Amino acid sequence: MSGASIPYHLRPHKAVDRRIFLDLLGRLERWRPLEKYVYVSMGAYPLEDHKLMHRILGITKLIAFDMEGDIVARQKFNKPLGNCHCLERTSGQVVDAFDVLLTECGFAEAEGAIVWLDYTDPKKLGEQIREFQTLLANLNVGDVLRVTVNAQPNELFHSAGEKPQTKEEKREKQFQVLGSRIKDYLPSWAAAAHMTAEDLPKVIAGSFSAAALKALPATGNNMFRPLSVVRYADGVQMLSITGTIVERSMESDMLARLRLDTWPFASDKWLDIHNLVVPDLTVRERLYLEREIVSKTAEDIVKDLGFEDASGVKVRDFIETYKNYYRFYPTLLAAEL
Amino acid sequence: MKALVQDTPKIGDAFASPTKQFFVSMLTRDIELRDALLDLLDNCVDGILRSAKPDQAKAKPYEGFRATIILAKDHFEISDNCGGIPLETAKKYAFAMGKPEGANDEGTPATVGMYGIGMKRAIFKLGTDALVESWSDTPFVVEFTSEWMASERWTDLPIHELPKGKLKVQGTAITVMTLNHEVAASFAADGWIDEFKKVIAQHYSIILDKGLSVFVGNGVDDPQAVVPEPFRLLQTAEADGKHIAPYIYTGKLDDVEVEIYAGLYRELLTAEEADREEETRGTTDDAGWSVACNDRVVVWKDKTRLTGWGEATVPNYHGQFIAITGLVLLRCDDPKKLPLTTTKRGIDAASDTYSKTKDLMREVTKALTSFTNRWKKFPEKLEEIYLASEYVDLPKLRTMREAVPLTNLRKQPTVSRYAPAYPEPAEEKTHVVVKFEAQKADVALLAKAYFGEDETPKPGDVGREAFDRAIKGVRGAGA
Repeated sequence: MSGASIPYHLRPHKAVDRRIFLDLLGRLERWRPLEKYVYVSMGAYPLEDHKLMHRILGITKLIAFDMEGDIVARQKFNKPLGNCHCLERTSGQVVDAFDVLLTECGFAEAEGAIVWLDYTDPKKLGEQIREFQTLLANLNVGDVLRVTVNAQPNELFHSAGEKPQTKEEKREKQFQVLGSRIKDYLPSWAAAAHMTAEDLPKVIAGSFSAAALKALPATGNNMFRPLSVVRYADGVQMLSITGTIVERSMESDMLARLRLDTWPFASDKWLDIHNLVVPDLTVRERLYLEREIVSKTAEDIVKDLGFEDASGVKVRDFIETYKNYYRFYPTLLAAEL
Repeated sequence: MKALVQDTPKIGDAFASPTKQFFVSMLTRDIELRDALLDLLDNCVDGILRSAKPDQAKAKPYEGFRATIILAKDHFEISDNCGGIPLETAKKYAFAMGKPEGANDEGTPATVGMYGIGMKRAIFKLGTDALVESWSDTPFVVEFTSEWMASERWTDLPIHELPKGKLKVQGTAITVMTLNHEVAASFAADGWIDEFKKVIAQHYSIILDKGLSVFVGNGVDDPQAVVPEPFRLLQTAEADGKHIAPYIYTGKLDDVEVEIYAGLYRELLTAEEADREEETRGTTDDAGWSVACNDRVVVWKDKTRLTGWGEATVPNYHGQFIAITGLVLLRCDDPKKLPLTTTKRGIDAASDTYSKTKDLMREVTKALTSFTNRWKKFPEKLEEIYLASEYVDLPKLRTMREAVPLTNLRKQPTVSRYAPAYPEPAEEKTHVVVKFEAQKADVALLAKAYFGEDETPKPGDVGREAFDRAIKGVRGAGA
């Protein structure tokens, strides 16, 4: 099963994850204004995140790219404002010549850059982590980099033969495949036993941390500070890492301004990973929850609802995290236009 | 010609000693922090060799010995149970800069310490206010104070008695209380310690495998053991006397014992994968040559001229050769005869012994690259040759050396070789690769026509199907 089978802008987890990103950028504005930043991401055909960047943060310098000409043509049709450049590029081409790209689009004067590398292909994790490293080495203090990658153990390897494989055999093979892609970056503690939905994101986040250290060595002035690390599953599990480049000496100053201690999706370390669970809710359920979630206990809410399980998610489990993101939950309604 | 000794009266002395500051900055500039730390681990191993004289014929001669390294934000510490420094050694050699006369007469075999600067250089690199405590025969402590470090004088360091019970076991503990800025930043950075553990796992791969335990911690969490990075090669079952198997060389060059093991450690890349790899590196590879001197790995997975790639008729390394790896073991009781550099990273390429060794390495690399090149044209057949493949690790490779038929080399008669016969693609003589570009839309059109809506065949599969149909058509028409 692939997330791509559900229309991009209708995936609730993706939508919430995207809104969490925007909420974080809102916090970052307490550190430095983002209005004159440039925003670069794949965006897919609806350019949903570009729309939000413009509407919520007022960013007008927008760049979208995709390797498929058809998608780029569709992006051009859907772009939220005339100033949005839609280019036929691979992510590799974008990171290899990031400065050239900005100049080409007339954005060389941007005060900073927000880049979202929204990857999907699990087979290319090796390229993805190296692109992350390459881009980090080309970014400046204040720039924001977000990367989303596949973090589903089964995507590494699943038994296709007639005879089912044991858990151990499968994990061993999955770990081997992961190693063949990103062994240079794997944390030393990583092992086959970590090839689970819970632990694979940790192994991958640890690997990105190693890539960040290679791009910005410990002896340099600047560091990449992860701000939010979130995993979620729209069919397949994805991992989103968002952080910013900051001078080592200014790290605590920045954190104090962001007040991340009061933000529910903040990650103090690479391995502080939040699990985003978003069940499909009906409008009626959602309106009820919105009214009651802050004031009532989980027990009372379950009693009022009269059911314990919502689309395979335990109501009691998700209510705690729902408190943190109900503001971002998308309302999807059928409409005739 | 002027006389060397002047007969005019002497009116003073010109200062001609190295200044301490110059010496310290020169000494520490050329070595990376992690290599300086490895030097301290080398001393632990030399301690075992000196004190326990372990039987190297055993599988795990260093079993029971351990070293613990703490890399905390505000201090550094390494402690071991590897036998400690005898008081006389401490007085005469251990704290001298370089090895004074007579230092090599201790008769410790096959060590890796040869310049007598490892410990001092590591301390200078790390910081000031360092303590060296050791117990072999008489427990003692030597302090490197910040005053001594800052002063211009090379005064001798006082040796003090170490209170009883300070060290629980015979061994050495080195503590650095004030870290240099760069060192503190490294220890504190997310991921640095983990990277360092990987460096130990590689460069101490053989020594850890022989039983030494190394624990690394950050001063907060419990120190964790380092797991050695294995070296292993593929071997497949024999068919018609041909199979994939390790190349083995064994013998003596000059006074140095040489063992070489090389072969494939993974499947070859298909042409498509190799093309992608040329564009952006996407896979991690364990390809390349590693070289160990007296068990200490000094070169890890090198793919440059240093190990013979791109020299003589050997091609430069590139993605196609991702599966090729080799290990060279050099061993000599007198470490001066080994091609070691002072940082123990890299090789003294000017060494004659190494140059002879490299001739052999090139020979294997060439054979393996030819094998790879021949098979890359026939990726579908390739899978067949990996059937029943298994990994052979280093201890097993070394026993294999006794069992396989070895022949002496004509040029280096003191070295003998086992060169397995690798499988050859039978199609090589009858087949040819067809390669061309086509319009994407046309390929999609054919794909739909041949495979239907539901399948997404690769362009190559579509091309093959088109070719097969065309051949069938022509043959049918001819019949």
